[in-house]
Amino acid sequence: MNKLLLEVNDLGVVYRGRGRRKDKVALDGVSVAIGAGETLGLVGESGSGKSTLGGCVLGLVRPEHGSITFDGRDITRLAARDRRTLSTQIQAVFQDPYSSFNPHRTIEQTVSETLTNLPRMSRQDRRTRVVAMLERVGLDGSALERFPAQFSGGQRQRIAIARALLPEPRLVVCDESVSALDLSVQAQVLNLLLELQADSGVTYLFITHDLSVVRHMSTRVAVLEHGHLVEEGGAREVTDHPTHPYTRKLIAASPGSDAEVQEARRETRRAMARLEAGGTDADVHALHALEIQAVIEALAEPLSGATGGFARVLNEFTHEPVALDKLVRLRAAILDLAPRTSAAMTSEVVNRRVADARERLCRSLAENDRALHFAAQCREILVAIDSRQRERAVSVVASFDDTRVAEHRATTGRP
Amino acid sequence: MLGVIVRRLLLAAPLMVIISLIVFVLGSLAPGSVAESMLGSSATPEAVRELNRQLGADQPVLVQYWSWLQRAVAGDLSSSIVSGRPVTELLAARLPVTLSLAVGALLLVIVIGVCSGMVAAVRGGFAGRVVEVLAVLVRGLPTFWLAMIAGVIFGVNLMWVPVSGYVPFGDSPSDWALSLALPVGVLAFGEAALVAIVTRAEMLAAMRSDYVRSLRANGYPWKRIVFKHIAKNAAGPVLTMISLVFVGLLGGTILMEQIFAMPGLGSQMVTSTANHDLPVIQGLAVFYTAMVVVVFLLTDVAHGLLNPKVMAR
Amino acid sequence: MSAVIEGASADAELRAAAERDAGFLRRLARQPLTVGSAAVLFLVVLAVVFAPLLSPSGPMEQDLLNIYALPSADHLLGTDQLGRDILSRMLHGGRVTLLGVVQATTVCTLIGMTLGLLAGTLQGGVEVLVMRVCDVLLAVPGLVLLLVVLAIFGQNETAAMITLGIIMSPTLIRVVYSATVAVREEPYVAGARVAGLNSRQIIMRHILPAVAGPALTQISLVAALACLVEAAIGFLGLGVVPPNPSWGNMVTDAQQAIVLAPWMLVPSGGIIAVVALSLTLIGNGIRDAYAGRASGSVSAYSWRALTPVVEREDRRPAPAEVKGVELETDRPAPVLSVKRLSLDLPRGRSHVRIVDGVSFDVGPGEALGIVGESGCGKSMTISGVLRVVPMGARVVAESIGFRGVELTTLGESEMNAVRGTGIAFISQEPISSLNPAFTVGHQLQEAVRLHRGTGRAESKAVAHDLMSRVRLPEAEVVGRKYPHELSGGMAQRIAIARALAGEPDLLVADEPTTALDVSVQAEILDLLRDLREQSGMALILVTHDWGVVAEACDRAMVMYAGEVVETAPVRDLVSNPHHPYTQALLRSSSVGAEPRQLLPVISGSVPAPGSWPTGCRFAARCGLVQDRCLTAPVPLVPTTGGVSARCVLVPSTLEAVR
Repeated sequence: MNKLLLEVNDLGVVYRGRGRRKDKVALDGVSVAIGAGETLGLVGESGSGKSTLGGCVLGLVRPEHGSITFDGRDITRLAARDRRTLSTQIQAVFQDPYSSFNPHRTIEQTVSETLTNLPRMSRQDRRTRVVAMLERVGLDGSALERFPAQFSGGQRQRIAIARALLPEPRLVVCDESVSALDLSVQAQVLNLLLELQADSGVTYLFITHDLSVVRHMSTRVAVLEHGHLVEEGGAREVTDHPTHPYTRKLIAASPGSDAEVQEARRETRRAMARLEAGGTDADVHALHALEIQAVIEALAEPLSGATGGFARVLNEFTHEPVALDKLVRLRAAILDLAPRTSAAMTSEVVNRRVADARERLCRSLAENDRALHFAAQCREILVAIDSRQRERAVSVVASFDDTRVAEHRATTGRP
Repeated sequence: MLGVIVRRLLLAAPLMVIISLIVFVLGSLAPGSVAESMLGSSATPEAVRELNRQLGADQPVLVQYWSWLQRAVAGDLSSSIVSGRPVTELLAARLPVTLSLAVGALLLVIVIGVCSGMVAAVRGGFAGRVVEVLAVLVRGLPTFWLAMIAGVIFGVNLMWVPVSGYVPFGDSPSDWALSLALPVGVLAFGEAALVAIVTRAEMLAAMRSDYVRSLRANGYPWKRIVFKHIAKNAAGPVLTMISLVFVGLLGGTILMEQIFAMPGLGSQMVTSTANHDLPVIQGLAVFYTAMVVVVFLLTDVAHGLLNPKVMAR
Repeated sequence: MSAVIEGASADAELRAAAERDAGFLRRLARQPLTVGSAAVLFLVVLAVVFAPLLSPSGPMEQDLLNIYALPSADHLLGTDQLGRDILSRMLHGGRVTLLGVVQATTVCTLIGMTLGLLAGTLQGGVEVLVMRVCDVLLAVPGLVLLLVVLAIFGQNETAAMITLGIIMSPTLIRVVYSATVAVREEPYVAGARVAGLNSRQIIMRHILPAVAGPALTQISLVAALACLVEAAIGFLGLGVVPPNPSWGNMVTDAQQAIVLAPWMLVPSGGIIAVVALSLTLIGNGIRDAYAGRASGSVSAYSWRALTPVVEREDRRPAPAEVKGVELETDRPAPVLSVKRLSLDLPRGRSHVRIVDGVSFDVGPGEALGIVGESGCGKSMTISGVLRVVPMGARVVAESIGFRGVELTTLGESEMNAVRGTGIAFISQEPISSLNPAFTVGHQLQEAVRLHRGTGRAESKAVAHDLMSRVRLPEAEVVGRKYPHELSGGMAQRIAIARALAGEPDLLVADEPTTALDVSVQAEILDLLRDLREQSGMALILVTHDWGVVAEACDRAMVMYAGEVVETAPVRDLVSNPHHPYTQALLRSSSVGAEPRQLLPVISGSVPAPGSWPTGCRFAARCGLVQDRCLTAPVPLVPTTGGVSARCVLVPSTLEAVR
């Protein structure tokens, strides 16, 4: 990490309830840090406290306890005057491009608002600076005299960015800055933010509920759930190899654009639902759904190191006799091909039942002398994944328990 | 529900105290004293001082107020300095007139205002424009002037109703109704416009809401949407408007009683004002406020029944 | 306000807002009624101020030989019971009245603005205290308190008018306060604080301008009321002492002569009415100008006006489209078959096309996704099918067939019968799509009773069954709750259950998960899929989210600038898009993109309705644009495997164009 710019330590916020409404803990002991020039992505669902954290940094929300240090200086409870001076260093881009502008004020008035606390400059200088900034975000001087209503959502968000970056701040809090934008406009704005960061070395605190956006934008990611920090780390690390179940759940639930992945995840969810409802054979189906899903995910979005783990287990698998536990370990390793998603979809209880099914199926494989055949199948999958042959990999994983009928007989003891 | 009523009642009591205190303190600021008024300008200063002492008017204002309040709670609002009759007696004699006027007008306001507001919202076009224009017109016209014009038309020219006077209900219910027709009609006409505007605006706002769109898209008949779903949501603000209108109506009754020569609280109020009859004015002011408080209480209860969010608070 | 604002409504709002910014004064000046009222008021004030110069005779000058005279050249407004010139008395009498109006209005404005702004900006104890005082003052019958003051201060006009100002202030306080609070909550005020503005600057730049409109409106109304009350006091004989004239006691004079000289009523009351009316009209004008609309334009809105004009367009379909229909004969008869549906919304005096000739089929049990960016007309398309459209909309279609019934020829009540039982609808904001005033259980049972005609007990049982179908546990407990007590996910389940009450063949869902968290979104989409499999119900899902389409739909229809640019099975669409727009859009997604690298973007933005080009509507943003894209409209042409695309680069289109 670069030199620390912002350090949030043990931050707690309580919204005091009025009347009969209860107090609500919005943040509880959250600590995060951002290095200069980096981007910290703050992810969570509604009520996770992510915007509250942004509000604290901006001085809009008063923390109950904890501290916020900006560039080595404690800014947790600044006097109003000091806070205003700090506004040249910490700025924000908010979510709604429609309500974040006063409809009665021109773009020039709105944008130059952020220059209020800089040393006084002439009207001409001020205007030159605003125009230069507007041009930087892809608009031009003709915008100055116009009103927000005359711009589209994407253009307004560009103006909001121009306004935030005008005083050359060191930190910009982006609170759901692209959430209300359409896909194509969102991409334009994300690019703009990245370019500006590359140019000026500004630091972003990027708050969003969208995992793919946060993964795309951040150097580090912090995941919040109900006001608690559940996971923090490098962006890739957290999004590709999440350790906390909540992060995994978020990833598994966020729709990608790959229809097959979607279908695989859906199949898993439904198999889990059946398993919880206690259908016969449901545990075997659930295991199959998980295995197929893992392979499809691994093919759709290959994660560094995910196949490596599987290959390592497979490499130990060379000579007979095969110990049952080894076989079980190999089979379990299939799920690690997509650790962040398949694991997220199984609860503790379900996990145990799936593990039971796995052991049962492995025992049957061993008893039927199919252990080596299974290993060969696994190798084929590995090859298929490496060579991006989706259909081949899926068909192999789907044929794992061709002997399902025999298997069924074996477990139930019927001929 | 009971909680809301109790809480409102607890708020109403201090309200009454504050209003009466304001009236009382204002009264104490008046130049001259009660005794001067009672004894006339020819009285000697000694006599005035003596009477003031007897009346307790030489005491500090708050002490006077306290003793007045104690008596008021016990039902004694002291006596008129002009006629010497107890204020409560005056109230009781004149209340039916004012109450008939105010309640009659309020009912008419609700019927006319809510109905025309709904018609304007549902049918739009011409009906909507009529309500809008009438609402502006009515707010700009002096009621007392309207009342006289109505008197000339309906009383003098057409002779449908008596031009003035009040017939007690006990004497003849039909004559009672006829004697009320003009003043009640004029009063209601003016204030109904306000209710109509609010009704219409609230219903139009509800029509644009997401839930109405969902109901329409799911095939609910328009009558059910308008009279059940929209009506219940629009009722809250309309109720608030009605309670405010009642305050205006009470002021209006004073004018109507004066114009149509009706022996109500209002004409008493005007007479007493001209005569500087402070005890009567104080008693009446407190009583008027009490009527408002009762109506506010009723609307609050209705609000609670209609709006689940109010109950939750 | 929803996060993604769809189509024309957004456009209309933008336009309204743009007008709002064209200048408040200029808009005010464009209202003839307001300008006229202001002119009248100005003349009256001038005449009253210069009364001694203008009046033909003294206000007290009697002419007992010429009493109760009608208007004549000598006495323009006639004479009264003492033969005094009414015009002269009116001009002189107005001085008291207008002075009173100024006094009362000034007092009211000072108190109202100060306390309203204080309460609105300071919050906390001040806020509570001011609003409590307002409550108390509102409960005071104004005229009664005025009489008290008049009694005490010996019929002193000034005291009375100051009191009147105080009595009228709570309404103004409330107006200013609520306007302030509304602004205080606006994100742009938070933005101003972040930008480093101090409280004074925020009040001057952001709060006062927003409060000014409502406050000015209220102040004009206060002035009108003050005029009426002052006259009323005079009328009661408690203000100016006769024989000095005042507008009020001139009415009293007229009252006494009501039988002998009814004419006297006209000028005496008339002048009061003229002043009060002018003030009211000015207030209304300010309100309208501030809200950015032409005077009185809201009056066009009504329930009746919500029913759209539906036209059936008899038109020989273009050859390309005929081919399209023929090619899809292998599919079972569709539940819904829309042919060349267009929708126009009113803009000013004309209409602007929002949806342009959209055709699509939905098979039994099929899930069709309608995808596109804001302003592409996807929501309006389904609004047009359901005929639940913004006011003044016009729906034109060659045919909308539903289960073999032609919907375009149905009357409004027949169409209403189809909605709910044939086609059901769920909307974007789950909580606000339920009526806040009824419990959700009640609303669900109502839907069951309505659509199935069942009795009370049976409806309740069915409602419970529906709740369990949408996987809401504890039907009893949930049913007793009001919408605002539910989470978004639960509310959407209730909305779905309500939509299922009529056992529809087609469910239309407009961005059903946009307002929900991702984990809840997955649950709702799973639920929709399961329900579809259980009941064989078809689904149309409108969304801007490609992930949702991939998750929930079999087939997708991509819309751009009011028309369909591509239709394909979801898997093909995502893996092998045909239209350059679809291709570019999918590439610009951050899903699976290389982190912190620039995304390939589509430049520019979607053309607004009303400014669509003649040729391909995507041409201006397309990287593959050719000359022939610009000249003529490109037809939507089917290729293989149920894919249709509207692009000259798609081979089969090439043939069709030739």
